[in-house]
Amino acid sequence: MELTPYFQSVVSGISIGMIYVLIALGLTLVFGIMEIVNFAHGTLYMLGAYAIWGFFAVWGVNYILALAITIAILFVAGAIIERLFYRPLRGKFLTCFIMALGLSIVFENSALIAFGPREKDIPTTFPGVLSFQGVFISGERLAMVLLSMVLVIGLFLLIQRTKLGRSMRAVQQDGDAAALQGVSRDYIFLMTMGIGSALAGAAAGLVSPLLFANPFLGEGALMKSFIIIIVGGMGSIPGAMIGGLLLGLIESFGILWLNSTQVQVVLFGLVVLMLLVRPQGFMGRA
Amino acid sequence: MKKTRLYLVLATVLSVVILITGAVCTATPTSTPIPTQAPATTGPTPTPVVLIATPTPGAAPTMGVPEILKIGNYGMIAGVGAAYGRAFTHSVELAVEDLNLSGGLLLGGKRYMFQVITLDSGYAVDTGRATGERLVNTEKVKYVFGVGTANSLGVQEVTEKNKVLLLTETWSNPVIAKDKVYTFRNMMGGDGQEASIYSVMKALYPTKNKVYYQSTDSITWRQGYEVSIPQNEKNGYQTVGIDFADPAITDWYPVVTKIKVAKPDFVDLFMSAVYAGPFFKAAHELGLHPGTQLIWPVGDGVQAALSVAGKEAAEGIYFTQEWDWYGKFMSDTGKAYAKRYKDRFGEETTIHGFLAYDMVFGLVEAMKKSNSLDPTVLKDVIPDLKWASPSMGKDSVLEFVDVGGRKAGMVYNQVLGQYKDGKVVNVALMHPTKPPVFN
Repeated sequence: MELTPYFQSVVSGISIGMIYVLIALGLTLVFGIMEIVNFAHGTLYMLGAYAIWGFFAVWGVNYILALAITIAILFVAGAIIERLFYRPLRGKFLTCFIMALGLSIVFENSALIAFGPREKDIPTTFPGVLSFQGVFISGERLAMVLLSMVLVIGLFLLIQRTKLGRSMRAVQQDGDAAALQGVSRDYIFLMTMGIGSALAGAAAGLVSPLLFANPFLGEGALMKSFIIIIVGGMGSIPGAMIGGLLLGLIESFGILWLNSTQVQVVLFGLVVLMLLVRPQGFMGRA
Repeated sequence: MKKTRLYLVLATVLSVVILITGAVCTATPTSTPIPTQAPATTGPTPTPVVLIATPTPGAAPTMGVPEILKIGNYGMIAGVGAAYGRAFTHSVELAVEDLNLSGGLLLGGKRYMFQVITLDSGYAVDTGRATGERLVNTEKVKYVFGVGTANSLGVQEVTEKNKVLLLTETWSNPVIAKDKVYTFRNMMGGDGQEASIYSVMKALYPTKNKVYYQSTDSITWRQGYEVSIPQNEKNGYQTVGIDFADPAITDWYPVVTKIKVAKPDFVDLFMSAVYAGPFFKAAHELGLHPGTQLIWPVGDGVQAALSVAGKEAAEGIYFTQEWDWYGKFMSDTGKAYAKRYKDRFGEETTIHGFLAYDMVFGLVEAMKKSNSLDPTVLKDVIPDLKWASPSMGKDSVLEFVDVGGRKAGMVYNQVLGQYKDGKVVNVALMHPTKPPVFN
């Protein structure tokens, strides 16, 4: 039995899984703390792709610096969205949902007007391919996995070890009690939305050299993110990590035995099963 | 209050930055500038864009007041599919301008000028149906041009019922043209393309015959393969795999890993540039290519796809070019059309633009040939029509061939290109009914 395709699938599954983790983390963070299903998350990811294209591909800024600028821009964009669009609707779940949907359509079509319908390509960031016993990984992907890990660890430390993180967790557990302890919900929500959006920007910055920037880039990413947070548990950061890696590995291994359409059936079948058997996901609260 | 103002200012600044970024980034020579003319965007009820050009002083003299002939024109102008829809609708407008500037149509001693009514049809059957109703019942057009499959199916419900000609660019011939006597497809699907491509492959790689068909999942591509795979098998090509990837695919590594296991000689890729570029890159990184030949018969957005793949990964890839940007096959009129398009709209035209432009002249040719403006007459003339393509290169004759029992599918020259030594070269000039001409 030829094992190389299976080893290749492990490598592929982990590399794509890390991207999924990064995209889904922002979405789950916003849901967990703000209780908003942020449908605009995919379009923030798309804006991140355009930002990295602008800074890196067009203006020739160093890739790491361009990535940092993209993350910063998306942080500010997220904070502005929270302040202007979500805060006035706080507590109104359905209205917020519709607002997010509306924003995503506004952003997509604004990008279409601003950048045109043609895809924008982003040059290779870390050229070269590494191979071992017939298993390949490009330098670009390896860098993407490593940088993703750095960001995930950074987020983990922020949530667990900083005052801001403690406050975020406090608001997530009991917003009223946290407010009584002097935690400003306005500030926490603003920061949460900023960090969530920054993560979307980071994911876009890392994955865009493998794809194109285009106005509708975020749609697929959003769909995957929802699968991940349903499986991992809505609002759970470890859940998003498990869900992301699981999705990457299922996609990667599934295609070896099934065709792409069957893999979709299995994937969404699992989501349906999860919703029936354990609706809170692997790591979500009951 | 002060804080709210501050956020409003920040929001404004951010919006301006995004738009300026777009403007500045797209102003560079390697990228697409912002179009100089806004597209016709519409809400649920489409708003028409009406365009009439005035004849130049040097044009042929008119005989009294010319009569206006309305032409309906639809496509996806906003949202998904805008890349197709904009090129198409803009090009119908350009063709009509050119026709009017050259004096319009002289028929039976009477002069006719054309008026285009452009609507955003969206990309769905119901929005297409609404567009058809508006064009046919409100605007009273007798000839409709449009792009897109699902929306065209909606438009077609109205045009067929009202005996209005529909000249549409859709890939899915079995659905759009069969038994619909007023509908003609002015674009080749897999059926028209693949036979030509594999006749070239047979000459280049006589001992290789295993094909893996990889596409992104859509009704359009599935129908394309439904027709072309049996055709290729009949021509001696063995199918070693067929797969339709999720359109939300982020990573081609798993798919390419699977293809490698099947050990094909050729991988045939029905997918748009947005997928093809990353696929090429993954195929190169995993060592599938260059050992296996990658054939991309879609040919729209070639430069972008090759660019994202990178020079090394793109080396050796075959793709179709319905128009020939690079070599000897392009005519002066084609170059003039492409330049005018770019000057006017600030971006390159696409295959959809070229085909739309040519089909307008095809309609006029049918009117001249039949000496009639009546769609019930024109529908019987169009199947046997042959006209020289104004845009698609030298010696390119356009005609309709039998597809699904009706002569309703337009065929035309294509160029098989290959990326070689860092540039695009023409391998052969192809036509579905003729043997290939090698460069």
